[in-house]
Amino acid sequence: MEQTDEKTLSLKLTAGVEFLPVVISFVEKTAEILGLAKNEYLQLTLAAEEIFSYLARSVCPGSVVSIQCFNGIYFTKVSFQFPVAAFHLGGLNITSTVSPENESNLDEMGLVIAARFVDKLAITKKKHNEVELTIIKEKAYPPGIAATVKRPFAAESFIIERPDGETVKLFAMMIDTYSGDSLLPAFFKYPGKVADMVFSGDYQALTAMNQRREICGGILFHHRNEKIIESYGPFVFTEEGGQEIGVALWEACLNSLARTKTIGVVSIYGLPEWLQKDSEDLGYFEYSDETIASMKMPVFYRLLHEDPGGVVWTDESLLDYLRKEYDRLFLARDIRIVANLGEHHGDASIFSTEFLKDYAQAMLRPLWPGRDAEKNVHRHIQTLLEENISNIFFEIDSGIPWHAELIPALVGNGFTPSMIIPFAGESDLIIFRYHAPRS
Amino acid sequence: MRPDLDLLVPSYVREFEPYIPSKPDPELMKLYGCSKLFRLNNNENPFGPPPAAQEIIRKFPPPQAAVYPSGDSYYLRHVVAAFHALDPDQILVGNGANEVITFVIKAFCQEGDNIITADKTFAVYEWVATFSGVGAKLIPLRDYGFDDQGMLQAIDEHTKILFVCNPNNPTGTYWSTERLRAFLDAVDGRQIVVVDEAYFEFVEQDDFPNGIALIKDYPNLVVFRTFSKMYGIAGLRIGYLAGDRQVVDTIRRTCVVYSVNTVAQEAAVAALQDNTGHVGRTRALVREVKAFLTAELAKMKLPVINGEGNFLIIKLPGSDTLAYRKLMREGIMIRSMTGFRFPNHIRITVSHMEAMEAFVTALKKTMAQ
Repeated sequence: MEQTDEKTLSLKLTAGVEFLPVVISFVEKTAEILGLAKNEYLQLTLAAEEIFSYLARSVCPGSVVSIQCFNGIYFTKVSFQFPVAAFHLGGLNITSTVSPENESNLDEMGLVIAARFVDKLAITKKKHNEVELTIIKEKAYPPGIAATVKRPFAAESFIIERPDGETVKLFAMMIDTYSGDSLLPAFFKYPGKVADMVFSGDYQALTAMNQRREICGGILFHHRNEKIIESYGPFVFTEEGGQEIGVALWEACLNSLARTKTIGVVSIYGLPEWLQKDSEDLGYFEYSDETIASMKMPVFYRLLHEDPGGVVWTDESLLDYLRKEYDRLFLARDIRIVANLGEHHGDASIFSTEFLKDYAQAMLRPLWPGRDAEKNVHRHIQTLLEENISNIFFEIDSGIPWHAELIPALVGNGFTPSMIIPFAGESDLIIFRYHAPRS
Repeated sequence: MRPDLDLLVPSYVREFEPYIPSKPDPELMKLYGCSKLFRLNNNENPFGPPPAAQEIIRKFPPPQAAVYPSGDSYYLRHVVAAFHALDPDQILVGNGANEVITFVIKAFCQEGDNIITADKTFAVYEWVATFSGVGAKLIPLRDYGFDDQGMLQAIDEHTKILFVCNPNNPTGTYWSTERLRAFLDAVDGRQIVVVDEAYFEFVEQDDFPNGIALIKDYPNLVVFRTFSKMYGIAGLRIGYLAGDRQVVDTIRRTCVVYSVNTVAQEAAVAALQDNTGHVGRTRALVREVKAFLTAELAKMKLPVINGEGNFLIIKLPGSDTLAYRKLMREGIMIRSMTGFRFPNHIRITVSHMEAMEAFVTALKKTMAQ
């Protein structure tokens, strides 16, 4: 065991069930020291136990696994890294070895069970031929007290600045009090959490302050991935003159991203109407759950760079959709059709599954190609529906030719393309949404 | 075995986002489906090089391509020095002004030092500093111009160079001789002051300073000039700096010799010696076209930032990067300004009237889309 840096503790061991107590003890003690409450660190430990046990039994027995506990300030992340050359990578499909009818197999439902205990589970392919499986458990925070927040006076003049922790908390309370937006993520109800999200460096905040040092508005943003920023807001709290404040906040956000690796800004949670003309309408995320029949979240996009054009790959069945979308978005793309001409693929395809509990959502992404893609997509849908995950998305990267080969399997299983996010991967990401067949 | 780049590459290089130049025109035309492309994005001179320079380029003997160029642009330095009444050793020639920016930062800065410049100006000062592990303090423009007091206040014990773009690209604002002198007096030789005069030859204002003429009074002053803009040989990549002899001697230690090719050196000599009125002709075109453009843009109720130089900025009612794509489909290539920290603005290069009329027509069409 070693402390890699001030935020990370690492453990390297062989994937064998005899080491399970070591892993349990390591994750439990570390998560406790990193600030999770008892209920949270126990749940994280249970998830880690499930995962390590599963890796040791089914995925990479005998391989060296590196486990890291990372202090994300508002969350604790446990990651398991192991080589691609593991024995049974197919086990990384959440569907692997699932036999709901057979209770005796429940101890082999590692990833699905683990996902139930944590806020996020994701699998990614890393450099140096390694796979990383991560679980995240967020800290619990008390909710804010809305009654303590007053609406600011109209601003004759204002300045935009990066707020301190107390101002961030106040900003979060004002959003919860005045925005009236039911689509916003739940974290806005926990000002301490928002302050920690900014303090951690994962999120950035800008606030507009009037002469009385009141918060007239603000914007919060973070990296959705290396190239894409996701923004919340801008929110404006004054009753008058809001547009000027909002535009200034938006421009300050864009200016802070200029000359960085960021290529685009995605706004999912309610871009003000007067800013929508500055952005591009990508489409919408459609959510449904047991209480809300259907909820559409429009997605707006602001490209920061000039479009250099590029090649994208697709199956012929998606050609018309892509042509129309690229034409509508004025994106210059050389669309090329992939065709499997009998070349070799492995037997088992592997998809990573990212669970987001807030939205009963799973985002599937291809990790490895395989001949069983169609069946594998079907198995994933069944498993997720059984887990009451009703919002199932599948993301492919149009810059990676073999991803395009999955399109018939997706369409054949009830997925339809819902949007293109430009430059969000090797090329553009195409997001598909699953629609259950009407009974 | 592949190298472990995480270990080998310094973090300031790893984190740096490389600039991606646009694809060659034929590729862009194919991608955007346009049969003609007006390049209004790089502030190139539509007249091209002066006639004598064109003759040099046309008549360059192919066998001479086998011979190395003068490693320190010997003849060109003499001509430039005579042009400015300086000693040839006060001149350093580089492969475009971008290269001399690198020379200066390498010569004076090490990791932990910083440079000071504006937030909304030519990006290369900031880029070179950043990927060299040198901090870049970016002072917000004031009234679209460099903020002299803000820059002076930002100086700390690690500050080595202050970069002033005069006139500023992209706003076209400039410091007068009086203001530049006051700034240099305040710095008082404690730091190097670089004045980038890439657009010097376009300015006709009486109070606009000739930075090179001030070097004798301020030995910490380094002035950049380029042959890419007024002299129209951007494709050959050649620019130079002038400064105090000792300062230039220091910068020369970081200079890559032989980086400037023979055609560029000879064409630059011919350009400086031009007596056909190239500068006057270009200035007249800029005046005429700016008058046309500002009138057309006023009719469209589009705000304009129109300063010195062969370009102007237009504020659009929506995204500049989207406007770039729409205009590309119409065969017009402009510079979107989000990367300059001017979101929803585009910069237009002054060109021949045919291109300007095509631009106005395309802009009207795209704004209606």
